[in-house]
Amino acid sequence: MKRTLVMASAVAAGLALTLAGCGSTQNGYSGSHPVQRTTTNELNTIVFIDHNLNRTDITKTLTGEKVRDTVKVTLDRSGMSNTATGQLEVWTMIRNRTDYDLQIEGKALFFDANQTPLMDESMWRRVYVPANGTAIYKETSLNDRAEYFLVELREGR
Amino acid sequence: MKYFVMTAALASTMVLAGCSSTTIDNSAGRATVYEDARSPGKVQGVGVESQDIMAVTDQMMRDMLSNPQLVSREVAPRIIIDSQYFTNESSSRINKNMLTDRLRINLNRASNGRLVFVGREYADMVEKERELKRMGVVDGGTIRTTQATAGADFRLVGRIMSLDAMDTRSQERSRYHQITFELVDLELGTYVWSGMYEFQKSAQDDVIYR
Repeated sequence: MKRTLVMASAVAAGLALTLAGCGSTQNGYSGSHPVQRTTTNELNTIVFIDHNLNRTDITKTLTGEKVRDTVKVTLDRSGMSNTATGQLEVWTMIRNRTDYDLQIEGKALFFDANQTPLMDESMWRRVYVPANGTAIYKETSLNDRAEYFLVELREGR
Repeated sequence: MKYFVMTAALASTMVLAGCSSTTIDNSAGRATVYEDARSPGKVQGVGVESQDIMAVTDQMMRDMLSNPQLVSREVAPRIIIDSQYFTNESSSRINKNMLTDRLRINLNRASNGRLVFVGREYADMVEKERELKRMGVVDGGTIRTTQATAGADFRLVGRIMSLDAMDTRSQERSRYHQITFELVDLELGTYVWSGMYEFQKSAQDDVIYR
């Protein structure tokens, strides 16, 4: 009877460990829920809202965390400056890592010095990135009050 | 024999008429849904669509506002933006006012006094009111009186052009659009700002734009 109880406990512990292994980490999820889905978007960043373009999956295994990056496009360089008229200008260099032509759409949101939204949200700007090639996405704010930005990129529709 | 044939014909007509019936499609159908006008919708073709109108006017507006020749003058320049000299030479059916009105309204809101817009489209309306004031039929209003209405420094001109191609076997068609916007100096006749927006679309079946 005692032996049976020990065996049952071992099976239960093993099952619990296996189920825990299937669960996700606190940083993110795997499969259709990459890390990007749970992270907070800081200002002055360029983010992929289309997770098929650039994503990181973290899966907890029995041996530890397994990190996997899936990349279609990357951002080689990015920057911000002020135009001659004082507007904030943000740009990024998009690199297509695939063997196929891609269309990327970008949208910029601008905020003032207090990080308050200026209600200055650009329309989707389409950028054509040739296979294994590079293209530039650039957007300017409507006025000189913009100090911060947030750029969102998705695959062209 | 003749009566027999006629009777038979009449009887068959009545039988066939009896077979036909009116069917009522009582299904719910697809309910009207709102769509994001900034992105392509459910019905798409090769013409100029809402997302194109919004994208092109937004791009032109931001470009004009970052031009020092326009917005960094000591005195805000007066500009006429309407569809009078903005022509549609394309094969796409489009109301040009959708482009020029959106551009003017958004520019007026965003420029915050750095650009002044002259409503030449409504000059008749202004003249009539001025005449009534001068004749003493109505009083002078509360703001001011001026010797004349505002003359403009720049005016928007532009074109919508297209190039069509169709594969006669697959019926697939493509249309390349080129939309140009330019501001002309109304004294010198020179172009002070130019902008262009291009796109090409292809589709198996074209939709009808109304």
